[in-house]
Amino acid sequence: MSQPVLTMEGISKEFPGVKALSDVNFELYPGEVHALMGENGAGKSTLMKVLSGVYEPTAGTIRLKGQEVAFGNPLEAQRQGVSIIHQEFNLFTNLSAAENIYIDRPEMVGRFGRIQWSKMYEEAQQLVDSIGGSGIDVRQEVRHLGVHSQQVVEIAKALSFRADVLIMDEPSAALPENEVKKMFDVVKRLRDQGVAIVYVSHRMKEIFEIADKVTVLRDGAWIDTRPIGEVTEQQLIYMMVGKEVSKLYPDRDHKPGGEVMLEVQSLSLDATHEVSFQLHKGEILGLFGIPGSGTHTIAERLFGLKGGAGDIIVGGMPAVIRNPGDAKARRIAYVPPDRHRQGIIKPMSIRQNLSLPILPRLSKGVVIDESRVREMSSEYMESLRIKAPNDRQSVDYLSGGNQQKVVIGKWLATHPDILILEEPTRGVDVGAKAEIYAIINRLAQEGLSILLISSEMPEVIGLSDRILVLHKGEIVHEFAHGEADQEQLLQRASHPLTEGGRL
Amino acid sequence: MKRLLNMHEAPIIIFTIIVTLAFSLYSSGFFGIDNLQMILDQNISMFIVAIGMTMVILLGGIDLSVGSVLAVTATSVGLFLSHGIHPWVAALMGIGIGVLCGMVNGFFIAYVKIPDIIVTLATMYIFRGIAVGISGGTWMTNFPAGFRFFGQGTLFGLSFPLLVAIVLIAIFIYGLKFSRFGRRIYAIGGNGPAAKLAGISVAKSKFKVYVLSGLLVGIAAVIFASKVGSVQASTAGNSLAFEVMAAVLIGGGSIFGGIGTIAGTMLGVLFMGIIKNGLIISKVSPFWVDATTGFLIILAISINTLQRYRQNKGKEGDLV
Amino acid sequence: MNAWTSRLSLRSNTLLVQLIVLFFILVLFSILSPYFLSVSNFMNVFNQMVEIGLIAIPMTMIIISGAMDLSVGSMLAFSAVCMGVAFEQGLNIWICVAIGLIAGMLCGALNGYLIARHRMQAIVVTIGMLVMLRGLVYVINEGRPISGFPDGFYFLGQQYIGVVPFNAIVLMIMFLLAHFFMKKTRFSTYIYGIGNNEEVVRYSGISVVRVRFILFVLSGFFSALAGVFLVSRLASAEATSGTNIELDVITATLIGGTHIFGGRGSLAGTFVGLLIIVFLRNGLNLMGVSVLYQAVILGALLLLAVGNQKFNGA
Repeated sequence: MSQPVLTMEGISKEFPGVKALSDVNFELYPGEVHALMGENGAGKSTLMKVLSGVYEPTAGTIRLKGQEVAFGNPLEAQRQGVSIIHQEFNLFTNLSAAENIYIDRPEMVGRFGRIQWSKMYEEAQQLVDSIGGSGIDVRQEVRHLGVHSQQVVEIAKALSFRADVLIMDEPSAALPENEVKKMFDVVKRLRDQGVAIVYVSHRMKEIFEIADKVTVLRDGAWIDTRPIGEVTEQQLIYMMVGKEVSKLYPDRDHKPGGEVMLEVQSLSLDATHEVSFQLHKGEILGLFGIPGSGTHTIAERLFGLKGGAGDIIVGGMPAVIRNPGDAKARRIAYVPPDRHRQGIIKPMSIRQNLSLPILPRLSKGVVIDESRVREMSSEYMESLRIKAPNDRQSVDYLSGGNQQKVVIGKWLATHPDILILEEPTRGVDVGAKAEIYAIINRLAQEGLSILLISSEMPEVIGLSDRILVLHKGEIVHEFAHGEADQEQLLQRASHPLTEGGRL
Repeated sequence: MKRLLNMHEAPIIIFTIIVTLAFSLYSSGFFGIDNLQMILDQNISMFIVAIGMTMVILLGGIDLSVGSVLAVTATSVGLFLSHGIHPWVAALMGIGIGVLCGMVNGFFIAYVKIPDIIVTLATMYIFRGIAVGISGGTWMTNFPAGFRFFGQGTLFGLSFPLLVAIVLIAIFIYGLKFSRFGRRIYAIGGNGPAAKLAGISVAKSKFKVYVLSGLLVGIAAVIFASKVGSVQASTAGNSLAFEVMAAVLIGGGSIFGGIGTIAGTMLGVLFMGIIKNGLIISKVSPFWVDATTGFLIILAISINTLQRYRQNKGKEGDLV
Repeated sequence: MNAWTSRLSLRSNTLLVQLIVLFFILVLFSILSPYFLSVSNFMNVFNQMVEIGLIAIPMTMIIISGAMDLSVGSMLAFSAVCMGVAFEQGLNIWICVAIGLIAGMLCGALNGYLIARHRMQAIVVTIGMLVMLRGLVYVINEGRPISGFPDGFYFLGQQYIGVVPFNAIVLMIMFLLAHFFMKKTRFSTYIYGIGNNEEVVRYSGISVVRVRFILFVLSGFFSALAGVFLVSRLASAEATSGTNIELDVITATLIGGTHIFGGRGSLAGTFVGLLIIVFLRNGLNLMGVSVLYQAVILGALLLLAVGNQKFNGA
């Protein structure tokens, strides 16, 4: 075998109080797609940030083409041939594709400091064409391009630095299903050109399709590196989680009641797609679909964050929900997917965060009744086991799991009939995950109707009474409890028409 | 056609045509070469200041202090002249003071990292106070004949200030399109963090832009002083910042940065000039001019927000 | 509700620093000017600070919510002139006062409608209003002052109760009410919440649009109220009233520790900031420093206050 283009040896990275990486080894060969897997918080992104020059490692060495290197910043890494493509693109949407690729590059500056636009357009077009983006006009402003084309521009930018190593962080997350294929074609083309690709993803199916090797991290430590042909999905999951998956999920021993708590009729998701379904009392209804399938939009519609046509019937009564306030009044609660942006106000105390949605109820007139707030907050601190010295601590200092419990708590405090949970365990460690699952299960047993939207298949399978699978804005299949496994679920979500047909 | 309508300059072109037609119908004296020349002539300083403001707004910033910088510069030039300094030297020194003011703004905004609105709000008062202070509160007048050239002279049969403005506009249009510095402005305004990742020094570019803005205001101030023939420190350029801001926004610039062109801004200035001129010719109260400027700012931000909204709406169509 | 327990020590420290600055200014001018340290001068200062103080109340809330209102001075003048013009039409003075207040609230409502409902940039919208309203003020009364109000009206701005000016008592009551409001009501939690993370407040089922709208209407109301008191104090409604008042108000607010990016601040701090500014201005006045030089000093103070916030690692 040829020489590795990149070796990372004994990489450790410590932050104050946390050891994010300890003694990680990683080798990368030219012309291979190397998947990097691990749960949230396993250290994947830290490792990639060390590699791409964002962080400096506390210990360990990085060798690029045999030379020991230390990148001070991402640009330096890029110049030396290591480029990273983030989940969220770093593009100038107001500029042309060509300029995005060659922004501020001396080689595009001619005599008297004049930028050579024709040269730039020409080379950019060549570069984009060479990775299969010939449909893209590089003179167009990026904001007029689709997501896949924007990704191609990002890749072209990386290649313009003659990248030997290309890191792709969840490259399919932003892409609609039909464009993932195109992205794979681009990746394969790059691989054939001898570029070494680090492919960071959660998606098993993709990894088995595109990767040559896989490395698994867990709790900041290297677990194993294997050729993809020598592992099974089950083994990978085991490596990532470190214990049997099923242990995470509580036993479901209750039967949801027959009463329909929520009925959705012809709820429009966009101009052409609408869905209808029912949610029963005490039921956990899982909604599964890959990004772009419309699960997130269902939550937004039900919670009044997005307008549109269709009927929402709550507890037998038609409900008009134009904003989150309306939804709250209908006893619908929503734990949003991004707790940092949508769930918690960081500098505020646990108590304030918990009481935020129900302040009117905790007030006498307009004046907040402090004793009632205290009572309420200690009640939820206790029942959800939020670990903090006291409830006046600002939520900023809590762990991810405890922050998530605060978000759940603030919505339980509204005494909802219907709880929409979206990605309830994103960025939460395994221990807290199990706790949150237990809470969800308990709530359902107490009669709460739960709509569970998650991209983590084991979670959906382990918790739900029923699962609705969405694909491109349509419900394509329904699984009863115990019927689904990951393979089937993913298959329904990705290729709805090949087998089984529609619901 | 659709592409034409999507252009950020589209509204301003349409407005200009409508307003021109309206005033032409209303007043016979409006539509003519003489009047057009007068409009250009009256707004020379604004054209020049607006170049700088375009760059500032492209960065996503705002500069409220330009009027006060104009006052300081014009007053200083008056002071230099009254001490018998040669008009050309006085003009250059004045421009130097404009640059200095720009450096003060740039330093606090780019390096101390205080929000531009606060810095320029503060310097708006500081520079104005200094202007009044050095003028002693009196009118600066009695400029020597040689100084009149900057505002009223002709070169190659063309008005000198107009020539200066045209040259500056050409230089900066070229610079924004063809220099790294110009492209960096667009990059920073479009996506600051990405610009930083691309190795662009955001602070340095910001500083330079404010210095250039100061330089341009300095030039405008010399022309202004020469043209008017007198300077009152407490009122010179009083509403300049607001008018120029309105011109940039109405000329298709986005207050969020990254979008806009000098050509569009120049149309915006022309539009403002036409409105002012038309209002005066139509003999309504001159006080309406200010009210209209304010209204135009609100109109411009409304259009701005609408365009941004339309753009984002395209994305919301996705199911993600 | 004790919102900021974890920051209590830090906050009381900044308040302490502000108090020390205030004390320093008081001592300095007492030494520099023989007229400074006297009951009558202090009462005079209190009498004159009312307009700035009234506007500083909603300004503090607006800046905490992460926005800014630059149109306060023009709203003040607009309300004052509306009131004056109505009076000239022969209406009862108190009806005119009501008209002035309503005019201010309508201006604030327009600000609020554009900023809250349509998410336009507060700075640009309020700059537009600043310019437009000031223009309208001149259009309405053609730049001449309106005076000749009845004696009963001058009570508001000129009457002293004992040694204390009546309007200063009103200001004090307003500050106490607002302080209570910002400590104890849920509306204040929403304001701090919006300043820290608007999305979370929206996702909590609270109408951010309504909160923001109310804040700008409040700003219009208080600006108008300031206009009424100013007209009463100066016995004349003028087109230039309230010019540049936003500088004093914003400086007082920011010196008072309210953070320029929102989320943090207090009315107690603003009150101390207010005292710093008015005593500074008074002292400079007594020493014969011109108003425009005072603006220079205030501008510098504003830069210092915000620059300091940045250095505090905020």
